[in-house]
This record gives sequence, C-alpha cells and structure tokens, in this order.
Amino acid sequence: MSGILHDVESYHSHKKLYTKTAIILTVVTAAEIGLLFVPALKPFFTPMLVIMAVYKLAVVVGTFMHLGDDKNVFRLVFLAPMGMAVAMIYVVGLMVMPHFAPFGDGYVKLATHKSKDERYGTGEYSKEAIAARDNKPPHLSAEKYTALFASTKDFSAGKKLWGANCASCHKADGGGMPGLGPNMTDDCYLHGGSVYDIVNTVTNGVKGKAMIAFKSQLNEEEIDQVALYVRSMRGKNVAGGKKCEGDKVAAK
Amino acid sequence: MSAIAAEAPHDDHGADHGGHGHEELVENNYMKVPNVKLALWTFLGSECMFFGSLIATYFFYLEKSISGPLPAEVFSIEITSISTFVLLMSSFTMALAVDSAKSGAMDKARNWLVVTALCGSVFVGFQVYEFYHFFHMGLALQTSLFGSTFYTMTGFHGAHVTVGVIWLLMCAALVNNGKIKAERAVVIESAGLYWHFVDIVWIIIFTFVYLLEFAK
Repeated sequence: MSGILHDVESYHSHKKLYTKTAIILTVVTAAEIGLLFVPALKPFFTPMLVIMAVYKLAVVVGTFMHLGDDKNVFRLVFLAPMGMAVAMIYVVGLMVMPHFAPFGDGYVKLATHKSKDERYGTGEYSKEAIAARDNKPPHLSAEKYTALFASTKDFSAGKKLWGANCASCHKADGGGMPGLGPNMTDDCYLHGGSVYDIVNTVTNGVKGKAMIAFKSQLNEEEIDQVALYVRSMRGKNVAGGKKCEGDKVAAK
Repeated sequence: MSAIAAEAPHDDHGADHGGHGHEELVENNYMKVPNVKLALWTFLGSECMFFGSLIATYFFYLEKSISGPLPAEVFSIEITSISTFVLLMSSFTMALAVDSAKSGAMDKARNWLVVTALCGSVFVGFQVYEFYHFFHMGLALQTSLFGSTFYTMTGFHGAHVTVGVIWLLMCAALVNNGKIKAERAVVIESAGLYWHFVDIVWIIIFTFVYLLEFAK
C-alpha cells in the first residue's frame, strides 16, 4: 500500500470542533424525537423532520468528513450522485410526503392506494363482508321452496342436470366420492338440508372446498331443479355410499 | 470537469489534511489528491445511488402491503433512538480517531478506533434484536412489501456497519503493530469517510423511515 504522507507538525487538532458537532447532533436528534411529543406541531412534523435530517447530514459531511474544505474533485464525485439519489427519493417520496409537492394537493394517487380496511381486510372489506356481498341469495323463500318440493312429482330435469354437473364429484347415484363430494342419499348435510339451503350451496359454492359456485353456469330455474332433485335423493341410502358427513336431519 | 480544472490554482491554500500542499508527497500528480481518498469518495458516490434506490423503493411500496404488521405496529421509537444515538456518537469517536492519528497520537487513535468499532457492534446488536423482534411479530422478508423493502434496506445498512466494524478493527490492529504511522493517517481517514457515510445513511433512514411513520 503506497500511502500519502501526512505532516504531523503542521496539523492543528479539530477536537473542539468535533465535540461541538457531536453536541449539535445530539441536540438535533433529541429535538427530532421530542417533536413527536408535541401534537400542536403535527402539521409541521414532516417538513421539520426533513430539515433536521438534512441539517444533520450536512453537519456530518461538512465537519466529520471535511468535504467543505477538501478538494473539489471529492465534492464532484460524491455530491453529484447524492443529488441524483435525492431527486429520485423526492419524486418517489411525493407519495408519502404531501407537504413537499410544489403544486396540487401533493399526493401521488395510485390505483393501488388502498385504505387500511381494504389492505387488511377489515370492516366492509372483511372476508365475511365480501363473501356476503358476492353471495347471491336463493330467489324464493325457504317456505316457498319447501312447498315447491312437496308439489313436485317429476325430477327428471334436475336429474339430467345432476348427471351433467354434479355426478363427477357426487357420483351418478349420489353416493359421493372419497375426498370430493359427500353422499347426497343419506340424511346428513354439511351446509343445511332444506331445499333453500341446497339452492344456496349450489348457487354460491363452499369457499375453500371442492364445491364450486354454480351461479355463473346454471340459471336460477336450473339450480332450483337440481336442488329439488338433490332433496329427492334424501334417505335412498344407495349401496356403497359415503358415510354420514355433517348434521343429521329428519329422514324424510 | 471544470471543477477539477478550477482546483489547480488553489493548490497551496486551504485545508492541510492528506498531504495537501506537499507536491512531492502527492500520489496523483494530475489531480493532486491521494488515490485512496479519491477512490473512497467515488465509492461513496455510488453508495449514494445504492441506498437512494433502496430508500426510494421502500417509499414506493409504503402503505401498499396487503398483509402482515404495519410499520407503526412494529417500530419501537425508544430502541431505535438509542441505537441511532450510539451510531451518531460513533461518528464522533471516529473523527477523534482520525484527529489523533493526524496529531501523531497513534495509541489514542487505536483506542478511538476500537471504541468506534464497539459502538458499531452495539448498533448491529440492536438491529439483530430488532429483526428478531419484528420476525416474531409476524414480519418476515416475504410477508409483505413492507417486510421485503424494509429488511432489504436496513439489512444492507447493517451489513455496511458490520463491514465497517471489521475494517476499523483491522485498522486498529495495524496501528497497534506500527504498520500504520501518523504520516499515513489517510488510511484511517478513508476508513473514517466510509464510517461517516454509513452514519449519514442511518440519519436518513431513521428520520424518513422511522420518525415519519410516527409523524403521520
């Protein structure tokens, strides 16, 4: 390592200056932190904090690093990139530091700027609220569905739809498949056994399970038909069907 | 390049560090600056862009995390204030180390270097504690945009401090063995420039990342 030789004799210690600088840095840092405990100054927090940080930076660079009284070339190679970095941070920072905008209301608003509720899924953006909003309620009341089932004799339309849409998971005879659809021919239901409940389950599906929502694939009438057919299967207890899952309901 | 050209006539006045004004002692005859110092300042210029990008990226993704703890939920103003103060004071002790070396008091310089390295270690210790604490509050690198930008930015800063600690300890050892003498104080001064730079990066991070979070 070839060093540059330093002349000890002609050097004057900067100890006093450094001590003063250290005190200034401590005071400014304490002021920064203390500022946060004065709510009255809240509108000025951002500009004051930025000014104090820039001041501290200038003090360290100017005093400890001696950039102020050193060679020009050092200032050039250091301050030019620093200026670019500051410009970059400033432009991006407009998104978080509205006080520093030269015009407008200062906030760069992006499509991704979301409220806390949206970001953390609370309030109107909670999972439950979204599910409730997305869910389509059955178009008839529970009583009307029950009456409809009592008056229905022909389930052939529902059976056809079952074959096309449901049999792949619940089996053609409704006995259910391991790991997929439960048995529809016993008297157990995971999501309610009334026609109304079945319409609801078929329409909206079951989140997190294999049961998909059919509201975009079948129309209301078709869903009614298939639900009535499902209801008609109760108690048939086909051979080889899956064992009871969910709550038992009255057999008929 | 006018800045450099304008420098030449002023060569004999001004500060007296780094062998200034001693033509025969200057390594680089064209710019009349010690190479090691010029290299350091140039490196620090590139570091400005490096940390500038990390800080800008942190801002860009601020408030856009969709899961995990918020900055205000994990930050502890007390702990960070203490570690910030320790790092600030380490810049002071570093300046004293360079000053002692330039004054020819090499034993003192060595001691201040060790103290500075110690302060740096304390800062890194606080950061390790902080990361550990945040991680257990559910903030991992991959948890959210906040997690990944925060850990990348402060992690790189912590790595810089760690490198600085090793560098300072090496300097202290070389001073101790008499390998760095007073006339080569520029070697310690260069390590000091790096150290002060790491400190100013933290000044910015402390204010812009931590304090502004509480100012909202």
